[in-house]
Amino acid sequence: MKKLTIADTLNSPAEQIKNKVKSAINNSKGLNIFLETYGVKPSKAKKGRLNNVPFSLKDNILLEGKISSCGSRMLEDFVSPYSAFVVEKLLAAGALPVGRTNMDEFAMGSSTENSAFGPTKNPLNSEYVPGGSSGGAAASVAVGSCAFALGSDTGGSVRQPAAFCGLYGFKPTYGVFSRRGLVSFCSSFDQIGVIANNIDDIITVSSVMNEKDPFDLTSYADRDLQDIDQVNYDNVDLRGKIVGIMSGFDPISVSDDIQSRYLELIEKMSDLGAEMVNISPPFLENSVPLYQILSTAEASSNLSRYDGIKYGLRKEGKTLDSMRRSTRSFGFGEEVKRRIILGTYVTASEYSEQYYKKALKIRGLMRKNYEAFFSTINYILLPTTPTPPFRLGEKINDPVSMYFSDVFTAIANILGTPAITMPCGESSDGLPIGIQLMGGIGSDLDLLKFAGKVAGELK
Amino acid sequence: MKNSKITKKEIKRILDLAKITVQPEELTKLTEDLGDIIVEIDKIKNLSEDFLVGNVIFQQVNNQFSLTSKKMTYSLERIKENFPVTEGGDPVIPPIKGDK
Amino acid sequence: MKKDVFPVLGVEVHIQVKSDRKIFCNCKNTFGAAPNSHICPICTGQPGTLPVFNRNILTSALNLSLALNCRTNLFTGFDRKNYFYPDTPKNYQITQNEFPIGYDGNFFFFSPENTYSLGITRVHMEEDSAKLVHKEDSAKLVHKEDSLEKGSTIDYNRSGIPLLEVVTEPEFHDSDSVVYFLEFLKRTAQYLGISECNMEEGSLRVDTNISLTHDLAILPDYRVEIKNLNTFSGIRSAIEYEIERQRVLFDRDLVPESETRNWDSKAKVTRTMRKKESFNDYRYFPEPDIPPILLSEKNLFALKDDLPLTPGFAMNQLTFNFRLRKEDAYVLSSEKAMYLYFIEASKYCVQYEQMVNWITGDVIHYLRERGEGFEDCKLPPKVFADIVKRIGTGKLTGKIFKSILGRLLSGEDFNEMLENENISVISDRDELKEIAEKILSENPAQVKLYIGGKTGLIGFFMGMMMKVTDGRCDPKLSQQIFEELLDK
Repeated sequence: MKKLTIADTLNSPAEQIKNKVKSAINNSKGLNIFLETYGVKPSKAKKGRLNNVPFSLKDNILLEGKISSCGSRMLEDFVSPYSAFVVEKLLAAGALPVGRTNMDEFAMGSSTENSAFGPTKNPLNSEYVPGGSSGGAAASVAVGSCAFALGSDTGGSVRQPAAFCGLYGFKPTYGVFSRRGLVSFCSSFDQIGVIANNIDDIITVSSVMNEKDPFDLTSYADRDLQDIDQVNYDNVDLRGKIVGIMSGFDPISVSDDIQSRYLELIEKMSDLGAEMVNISPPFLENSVPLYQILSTAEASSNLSRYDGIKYGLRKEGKTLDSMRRSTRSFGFGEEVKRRIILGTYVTASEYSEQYYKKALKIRGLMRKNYEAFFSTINYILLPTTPTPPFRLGEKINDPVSMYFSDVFTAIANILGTPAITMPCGESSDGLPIGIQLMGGIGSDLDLLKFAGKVAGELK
Repeated sequence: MKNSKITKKEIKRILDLAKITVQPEELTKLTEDLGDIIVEIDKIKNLSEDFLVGNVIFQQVNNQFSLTSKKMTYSLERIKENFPVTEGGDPVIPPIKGDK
Repeated sequence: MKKDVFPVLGVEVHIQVKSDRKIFCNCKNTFGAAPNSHICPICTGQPGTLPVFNRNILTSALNLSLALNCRTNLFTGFDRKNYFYPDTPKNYQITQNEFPIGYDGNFFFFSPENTYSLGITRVHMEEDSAKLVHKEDSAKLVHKEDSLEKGSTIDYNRSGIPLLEVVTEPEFHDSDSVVYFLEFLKRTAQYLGISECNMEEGSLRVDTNISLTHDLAILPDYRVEIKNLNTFSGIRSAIEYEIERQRVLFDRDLVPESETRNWDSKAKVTRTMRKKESFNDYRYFPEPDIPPILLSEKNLFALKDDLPLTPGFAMNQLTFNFRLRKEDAYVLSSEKAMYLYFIEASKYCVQYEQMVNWITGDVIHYLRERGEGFEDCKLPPKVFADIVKRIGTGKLTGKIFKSILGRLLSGEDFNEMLENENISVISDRDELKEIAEKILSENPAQVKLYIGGKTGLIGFFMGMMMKVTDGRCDPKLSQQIFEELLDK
């Protein structure tokens, strides 16, 4: 598999890029990465910083005139009436959309097995899952069909598949990328993220995509990110940096391979001069249930709009109510229904106080607490996933264990902080392992540069 | 069927709120799955609000932010924390480290 | 003996805010446009869209809240109200639940005779729903649950139009005070420029809750909500019907059921629409797509200082400062422009009552005929005041004013008329005497009778005088002259 980077494509003739993309897509057909490919049409004119750079879109990010199905039967034929803000920015910079990638239905899942259009397989070993929910996105970069992929990260959905496919995956501070045109799952956690082969590319793409979108009140402009052109890692120093780490793991739930790679990296970074301090990030063990409550609560409301009346699937019924019920019952897959039910349950009037409102309160306390942490330490280092990639079908019937895949990633969504996963060696089975760095709110560029430096030292 | 945290009757009521209909066998599985998940999310429900007593290094930080657990209600301050930073209604760039 | 029962009523009012664009998108806020001509991905609830709050609505909301003497939530924001209904594109409505913009208010309002004080529970902002358009008679079906039948369509033009909802405390006890409240609330919204409050166009919509109690100190534990109230007279009839219906149940020692009823304006009865709260769980939670709104006290004070004129202030001004009768003040202040016209004219003329009579009588009548209002009245208040003064001093007659009013309202200049036309009162003694002598000489028979004692005939002579002078003769002087001539 020949990987693509932005630097490669900018220096290659258009025809060559086209052929590369084409052959990568053709060679990986069996992996079920793309739900649709658009055909690459490189332009002669130079348009911008991403001229003729191929990228893929997760199936929940809108491109005008194209289908965005969110991996669901519900939106199988839904043609986007407009393009996502970040997609507009990429197109204006000359980037080429090569296709839309498979995903867990409405981004709910950690293996891309919940897609209504069949699972995607891990390009590194097709018996394993590519992670999820942006499994197709990660796989599309891994097979060399594009230089970068857009995914969405609500609880780790960009970072976990990037780790499973041996790639870099970045979720910025909440608000760095406009959510307009990203189909909502959990509005207060959702962020578009970037998967690529190196951190330089992630920085370039982030720089192009960041802007305050007047149609997303939660978006903001990060001047540092916007102004960055070429990153020089020479002036980034590990010395003097304080990195919070976790000292011990539950050996049952976190695999030996992960623990070993993590400890090796801690030693390495310490050797390079970083001050590694044990903070045992508080509340990590409760972040998954907290995430489950808050994300499903918002999802149950965000997914109400799919009722067969306005767009998407419609199953006829005798009355409006029966039409709506059969549409939703047939259109949503098992996992989506499970989460809608859970979200409805935790916000129902008699339970809201003990689940939803309690979770909100705890989230508020956590944000304050971690804000205080980040005034003292610079970064937090955590594994990206508790285990290396697992086999197709291994966890699909055990939702609780599947949810545990988010144990190290969901915290960044809960806090709204930026986090990036980097490939960090392999498991004993030869499968990739990712380690994650998290920074404070708004420290995106700083975090990316630091991660870039660490990644450089690892090579 | 094992002793679940939620009854079928309860699930049916929730299904009705969510406008979803399921077949009997699907209902059984849903009830079991949700029972398991509710065991997990009960960790939040049962969480003592003293949970933020952190480790030694950052005791100071924690002291500063630990709140008297008894008094906590769903108050204005709590809710403010759940939203991005604003000033007079327009969203403002979140505080960037080093800016302050 | 039957115990007395007292009605207890509360009102929920929805006011559509007059704004350029909708509350969460850039679509135009209009009424009567072709169906679905003002829609976009946001107000039709397309996937991936986010609401963008139109800050202009905030000013309207704060003004209304301040005018109703509400306390203001300096920290305010939106919540989601989750329910499935075909006219709600997202199947949740963005509204304010936890922190409404205004709460705990105390509204003073007036009737032509009385002053009232009413507790306001809350004032909050929300988005309007789309409109279901039915093949059959729409009024009959519009509130029927699940009424999107074959052939029904949805018009999203209304979806996302800004609404202000006002909820009152259950402090009404009869239909009159409810209607007076609604009339005054409507005036308040009009004065503040928030809304035209046109019930026919749906820019003012009213629901009312009615229950009865034996003891006013104890609030009833049931509540009947009445919807589909389209006119003030309909509201009055519906309330009276419903009170009577419940009274009959009370007389039989039955307690009415909590439910939502529909007013059938043709049959003049209320009918059960749905039994209350059977499974209405709105699962409110904070709207994550809109950051909260933080107001500073400074902002609020500035707004209070700039609060536009309210009809309550106008009423007080007219009754205390101008000593007008309450009924007159009530009519005069029914329109802001009319009130302001009076205030402007009052700088030049102190005959307030006469001015009120003219303004609320002939002037408004002629203006309406011309399809105009006081805001574009071509007769300047200063000139109007001058005319009333002239009438008061006998230099002009009311009859003449009436005859030239139409021309004045078309913009003709009063002073030019005075100069070029014979419109001022003839008060020249000699001139009148000459005319009087002529009249007497032409009617010898009547003169004879008068001298014979039928002094009532003075009216006949006056009439002749009026006729000859086109009503311009000074009546007092003319009568005096006739009497002098005849007594000779």
